[in-house]
Amino acid sequence: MALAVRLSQYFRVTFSVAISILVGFGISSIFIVAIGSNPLAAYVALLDGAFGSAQSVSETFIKAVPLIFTGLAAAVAFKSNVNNIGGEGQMYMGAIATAVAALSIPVLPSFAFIPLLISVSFLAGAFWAGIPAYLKIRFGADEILTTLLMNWIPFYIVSYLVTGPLQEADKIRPQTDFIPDAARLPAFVLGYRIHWGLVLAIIACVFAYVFLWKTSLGFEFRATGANLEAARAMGIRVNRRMIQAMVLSGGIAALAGFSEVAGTVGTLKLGSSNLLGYGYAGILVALITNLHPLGVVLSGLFFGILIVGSESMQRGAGVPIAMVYIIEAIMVVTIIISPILMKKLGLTWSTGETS
Amino acid sequence: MQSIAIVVIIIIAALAIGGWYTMQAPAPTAAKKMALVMPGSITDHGWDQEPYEGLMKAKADFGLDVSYTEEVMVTGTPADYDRILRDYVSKGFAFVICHDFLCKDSVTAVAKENPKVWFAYDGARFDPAIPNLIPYMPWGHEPSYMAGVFAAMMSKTGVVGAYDGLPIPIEVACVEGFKIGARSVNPNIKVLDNYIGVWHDPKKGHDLVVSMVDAGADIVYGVGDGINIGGIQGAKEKGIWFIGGTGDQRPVEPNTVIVSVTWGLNSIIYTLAKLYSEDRLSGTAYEFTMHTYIDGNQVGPNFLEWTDANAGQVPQNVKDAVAKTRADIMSGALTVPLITAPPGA
Amino acid sequence: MVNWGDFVIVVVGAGIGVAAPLLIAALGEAFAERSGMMNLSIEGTMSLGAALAFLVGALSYNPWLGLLTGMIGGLVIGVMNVYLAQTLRLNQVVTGMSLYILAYGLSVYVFRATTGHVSTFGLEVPRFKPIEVRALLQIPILGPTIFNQNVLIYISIVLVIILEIVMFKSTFGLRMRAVGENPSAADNVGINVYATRYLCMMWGGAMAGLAGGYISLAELGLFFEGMTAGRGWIAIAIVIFGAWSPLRILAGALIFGVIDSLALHVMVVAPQIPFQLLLTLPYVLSIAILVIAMKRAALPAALFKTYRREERQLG
Repeated sequence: MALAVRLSQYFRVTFSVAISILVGFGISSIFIVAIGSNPLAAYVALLDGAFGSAQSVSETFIKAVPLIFTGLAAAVAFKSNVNNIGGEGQMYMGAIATAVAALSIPVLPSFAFIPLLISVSFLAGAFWAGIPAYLKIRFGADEILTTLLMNWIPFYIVSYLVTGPLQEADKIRPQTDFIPDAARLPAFVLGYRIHWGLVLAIIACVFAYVFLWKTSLGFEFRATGANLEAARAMGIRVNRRMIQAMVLSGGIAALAGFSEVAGTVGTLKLGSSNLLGYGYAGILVALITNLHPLGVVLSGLFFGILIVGSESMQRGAGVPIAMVYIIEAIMVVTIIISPILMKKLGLTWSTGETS
Repeated sequence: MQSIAIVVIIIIAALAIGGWYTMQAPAPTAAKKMALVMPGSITDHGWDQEPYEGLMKAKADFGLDVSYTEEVMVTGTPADYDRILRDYVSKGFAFVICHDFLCKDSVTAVAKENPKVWFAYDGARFDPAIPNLIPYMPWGHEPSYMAGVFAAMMSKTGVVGAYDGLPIPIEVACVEGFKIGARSVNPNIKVLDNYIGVWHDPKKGHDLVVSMVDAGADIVYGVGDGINIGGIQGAKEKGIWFIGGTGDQRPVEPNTVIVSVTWGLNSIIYTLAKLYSEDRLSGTAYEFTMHTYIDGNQVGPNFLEWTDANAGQVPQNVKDAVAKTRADIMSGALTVPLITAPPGA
Repeated sequence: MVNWGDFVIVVVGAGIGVAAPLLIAALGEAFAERSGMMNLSIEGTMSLGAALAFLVGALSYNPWLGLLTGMIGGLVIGVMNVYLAQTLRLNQVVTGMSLYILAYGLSVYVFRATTGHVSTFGLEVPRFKPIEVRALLQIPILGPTIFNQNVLIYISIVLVIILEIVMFKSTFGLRMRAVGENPSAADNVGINVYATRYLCMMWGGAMAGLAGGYISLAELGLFFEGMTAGRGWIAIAIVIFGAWSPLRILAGALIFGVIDSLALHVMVVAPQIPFQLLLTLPYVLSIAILVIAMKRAALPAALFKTYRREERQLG
């Protein structure tokens, strides 16, 4: 009986998400038609770009991996009442640490090298998050501000490294040499780019879930996040927990950087002037799933689909880049609107609940 | 209300599924398919706009079926090039150009796996060469030298400025060429030389040019796109001359941008497209300079001189010096060193 | 030998120019946040404002009309944000960030649709040129720095004073702050929470649009995709840095602007210093100053929280 209830819940959620997507498509169509493209061709191109072939599916997952990490980082932080907006910078620090360590340390066999790099990158991100955490506790400096300001710095550190001391041997491109093969995350499915970083990300989410819900320390984190004063009254050392949550969050975000360098790319390249970097997108990923560590996996995947698919519309249906951004935004909004949409469309269930 | 909604949804779903099936078989076309992948915006007056314009002209002149993907670095990261290139291959494009230095790993991997598809990307030659991968590299040191000669002769304060985004070889070659050219006229000339770390922030370019003028410069050479657009405005405000870079930036502010160095990216892409349309592509590694001629046309970097409207502003001795420098470069009497790393680095 | 007086004048004068759009956007955001709404769409709204202001300003050859259009565009985004976040009760961070992407996409869309994507060549726009206030120019150091700026900057300075009064000394300001601190208590006292938030977000959006218009019409006289270059996010930082108070926000914007300008000037005369170091200076120093000089400021207690009328506590 309980299983049936759970299944029907999942069905409802999936159904409402599907409806939202269709509605999102509908609204976007207005814009697409206005610029003279074919809406159906556009959506098919989106789906084709995200799922159309084994290659596409692999790419969608690749896109999802850093999003899952930064999403988890944001979830852990926000769940503990710490507003960590610094995922972007912490991710870069993780990438920097991975590249620096992999290129400086004498090559070790994979089973030793990879865990070493994971640790180094985690520490780099934890350190980068630790600074704002310390400033908050010691000086009362608002962490939204400090983490945000600190995001710009790693970009310039990377810029310095890839045009200076760590630049590749050819010295032509702003990127480092390839890290040794032993340092690379192996491919998950041979012949495709998707790598074990995906497994690492999912494991991290499971660990986070178990930590937050099944340990007393995790309970304290959540209590701090739910009601600061009540937690303090319960005897929880909230300041300490918040610092710990922040540092943990920074380390997790750094793993996104590790996974990109050691898994997807193999080098550290100059950062880009992204519209929405993985660090910031991670905040969205976490919020859409209500800060749940396991939900982050699905949410990260959803964003992977959305970003990869909508970007492919340029090639699949000649949709101009401006439209790509507009469609992405509309889709995110219609997804979070889904309970309300369901109500408005009259698609509620007889129990009177909406998904 | 409920039933209407369900019907609407079913119709949309049916259309989508129907559309999916029609999409599965791409209609075969006789036209040759060529694609261009760019990191930035096609309105950036430089790195991306020039190749785009070359592509469009090639489409019109040779009847190619073209597609382009822009803003890859805005929507994602260099890791996305792999996916994008493979996407084009799967859609039957037989010539794909990836116009970003950071694309090298991706284009190499995809080119090796698809030996029947032509690829090009901007970068230097590789060893061993890959038969279906054409690296191309515009070296702007010679026109930059000419710009240096021009600047040193036009400057009344004895201070000139040069700037660009990052010290990577393609840019260092230009800035260093400029310095050497300026010093060949006036060994004591002061050249302010800065890198501002970004290419697309017009305000930074503007502020840097203004700072350079505050430090005494009365003519500035910019190597960039967005930073040049802002830099040009800064030059205009301060009433100094600006030397354009990357592409022909004279039309941006004809009264301020008196001359321009161009990398000739539009002619490079256009020429590659022409060769493709005539089945004459080969795995040559191109290094475009002022000496590069293909089919009788000069392709690549060049020094674009003052327009007729501005000719009156350029003293005759300057015109003569520039003409002589050009002649010497072309005849080989003058060899401009190609410097790819900042001195002291 | 450097003439220090001149150097200061030049650096600070340029710094004021850097600070202006940050200040304008931050002044808007301060009101939005004071009423409890976090508006994360500023960066995109600024881009949209810049595009609209430039296009309308160029086509009508009237910069004020351009600015107005930019403000209206920003206002619309602000309304959308508060509608989604307050009326539909969606998460503010999500709505803000989605609208950021939407507004940025719209700016590119509108620009390319109007100019045929080609460029801003041939589109002349009358700009806001610096206006000298002759009489006050004579004041040593301060004179040439401040009284040689464009009219929008003069207006902004006056606006700071007006807004400081509005925020802390007016009834509206009191109501707004009440809504931000404790919406249910405010509701109990009869303040219309929804209307207040709508007004504040409209103001925030309009100001972000105005900041964008400043960038395209006063700073540069052109539109370039991505020209906002992250300044919307810096404005958000300045709001927090300035503890949601107009005067302190002015200080924050000036600090940031002057350091940015200083870094660029130092870069020109001292090229041996790694330029990346100088470029991080505004961020590093802002954090340092925050830690040393600023008081611990309390967020408006209801920031981020959607107000649900039916869930208010009674009594």
